[in-house]
Amino acid sequence: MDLERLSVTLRPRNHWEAIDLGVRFALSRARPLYAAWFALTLPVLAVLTLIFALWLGEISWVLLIMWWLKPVFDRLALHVVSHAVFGEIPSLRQSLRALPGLLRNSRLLAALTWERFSLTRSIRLPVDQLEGLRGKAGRQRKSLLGRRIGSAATWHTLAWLHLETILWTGLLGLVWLLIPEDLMPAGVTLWKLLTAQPLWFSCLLYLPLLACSLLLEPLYVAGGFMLYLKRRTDLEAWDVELQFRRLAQSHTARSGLASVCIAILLGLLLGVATPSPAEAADSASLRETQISQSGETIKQVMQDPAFGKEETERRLHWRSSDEPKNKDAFKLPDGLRGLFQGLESFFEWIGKAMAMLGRIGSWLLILAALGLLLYLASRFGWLRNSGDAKAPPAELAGFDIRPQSLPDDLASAAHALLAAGDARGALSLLFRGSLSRLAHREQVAFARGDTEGDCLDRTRQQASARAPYLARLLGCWQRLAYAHQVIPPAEIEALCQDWRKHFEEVSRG
Amino acid sequence: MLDTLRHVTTPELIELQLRPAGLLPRSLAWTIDFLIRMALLLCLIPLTSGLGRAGGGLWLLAYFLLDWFYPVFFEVWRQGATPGKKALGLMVVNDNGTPVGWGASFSRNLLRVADMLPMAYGCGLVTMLCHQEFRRLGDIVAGTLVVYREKPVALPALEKTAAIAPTEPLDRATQRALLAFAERAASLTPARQEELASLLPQLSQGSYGPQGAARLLGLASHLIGRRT
Repeated sequence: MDLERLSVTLRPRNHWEAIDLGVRFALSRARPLYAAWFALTLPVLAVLTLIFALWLGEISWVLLIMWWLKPVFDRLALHVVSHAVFGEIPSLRQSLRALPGLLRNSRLLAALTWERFSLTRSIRLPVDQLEGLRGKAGRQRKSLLGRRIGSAATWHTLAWLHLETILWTGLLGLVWLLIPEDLMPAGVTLWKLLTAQPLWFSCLLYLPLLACSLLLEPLYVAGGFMLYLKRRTDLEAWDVELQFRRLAQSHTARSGLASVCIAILLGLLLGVATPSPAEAADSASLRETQISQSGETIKQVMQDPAFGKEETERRLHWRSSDEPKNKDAFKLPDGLRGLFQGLESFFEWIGKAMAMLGRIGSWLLILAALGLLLYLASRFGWLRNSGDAKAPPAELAGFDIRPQSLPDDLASAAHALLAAGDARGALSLLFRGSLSRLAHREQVAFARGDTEGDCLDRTRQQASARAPYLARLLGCWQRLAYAHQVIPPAEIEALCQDWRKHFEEVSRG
Repeated sequence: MLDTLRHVTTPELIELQLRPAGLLPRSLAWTIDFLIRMALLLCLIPLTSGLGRAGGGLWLLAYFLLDWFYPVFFEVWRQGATPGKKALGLMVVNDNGTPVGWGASFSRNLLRVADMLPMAYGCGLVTMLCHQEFRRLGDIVAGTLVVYREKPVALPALEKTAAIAPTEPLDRATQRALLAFAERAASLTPARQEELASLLPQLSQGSYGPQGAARLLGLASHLIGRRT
């Protein structure tokens, strides 16, 4: 076994790949393989057909026997494939001459009887035929080889079984479909033919099956053989051995070459001097011309299609709306165009309505936010000062200062009271009116519990123009109310006149 | 030298190896997918039978969708592998190694109609057998390929051996061969290891038998960076 003559690449591959490679290999060596194959099978088929079909009239026996004899034929196929893998394709005569030896030395009896139904027969065959191991050693070897690839070999067998059937029925179906109905005799149906099975029909029926089976079997054998090779490659590192052998070869070649080189170098050193200056200058100028021509060279290189070329690419894409619409290029029928325009305006209207609704909604939202802000402000007292200023207390220093409790013409009313001898009533009315006008008209911020003096202080701060009058009035009132002194009527009369001057004008203004 | 690889060179001049998958794993993958689809359709029967004739229509729609778009869906959205292909370690790619898109997936699956003729994918089986890269008609038209998915390979653990520095620089082929030897050593018998080591006397440097194999392993340890 010479690994270097191997005609398939050795590399670690999975078991499916090995089967694929087997099929590929068998088809690449189809001519010698099928020549040997049909040289054996067709005569056997002819003899069987003569005996069973023509003499006994039972063609199904031919099928059965041909199927049963497959291991016999497989041995020849394996002989061709295994030699072809190692680069020596046997001629037809060599193969046929080797056949008797193959049948004698490869446990044919077992293969035709109890091992006929083995699903892993495709990987048992190489062990029996190529390794020639018998008995216990053979069994151990087969179990060792089958440990990793057994399931793959099983699927291989099952798949090939189905493949035969599929191709057979496919072929029949094709033929049946292509027969014109007119050519069929009246009353003949496929079902009738299948059940009655006249001899000519059986021949037509089973010949394609035989053909498929015979055509596919060498591929099956080759697949099994490659599976076997894969397992042995894994177990014995054939790929590593091949690498090592090549390394060793190149090493010896190199050492031979090295000695030759040393001899030549020695000769050169003795005979030839170093390059002259003229040669050096020549090489320099050559270099310069190369550099100056580099632009041209680059252009030439870039014209190679490997460095890019122009390509025209056409594809469909959505037109964006702002692209100018080419109305001439695409004309719709009028009815459709009307429909589309109607649809367009309808959708436009819907869009506008939605926009309007959105705008209203956003304004409402803004208003709601403002209202919420105001509510929060009033709730948490951010506006308390201005709110209090607008609401002066109803009663101040024991006087009712609500404007509606006062008479319309306050100065005249005070005058009338004075004339009737009620100086106390007149002064209190004047003071009450002053406070009321100050609080309501002049917005002086009196607090609820202010005394008369506090009121005077606040008036001095916030309405200083009225303060002297109020001080005078308050002095009179305090002398009359608390000190029980008699106030001259002329003084009260003057206060009445001044009140009118101070507060009536304001009210009018 | 015959092999089943397809070599693809990228624009960056990197060579990729695709491993096209043949008839057997693809048939098995198809069978798994077929069973899944049948199971789904069977499960739909009780759901749709309650709806009367409308249910029948729905079931037929589901059948149509499953029949035509089941592979497309998985090929485009699930890294080129239907559940069956995933189980077998296969995937669909364009023949330059890129993932399949809608166009390629649609055409390769629409062409199933042609591959199915005359019965049970007869046409597809024959073209797969005869094609260099095991393509069926749909694959040829769509420019796609069913390849073996690269499995994440666990780094092979080299045996713990004392690293030996080489006495002269080793070229790349030698380094590769040494590493291959060291990776496979665990699955080889000692006798086979010695036999292999004896093929390279220039590396084992006069040590024979077990010492020769140990020396090669030591060199490999040095190559992967061990320095003890």
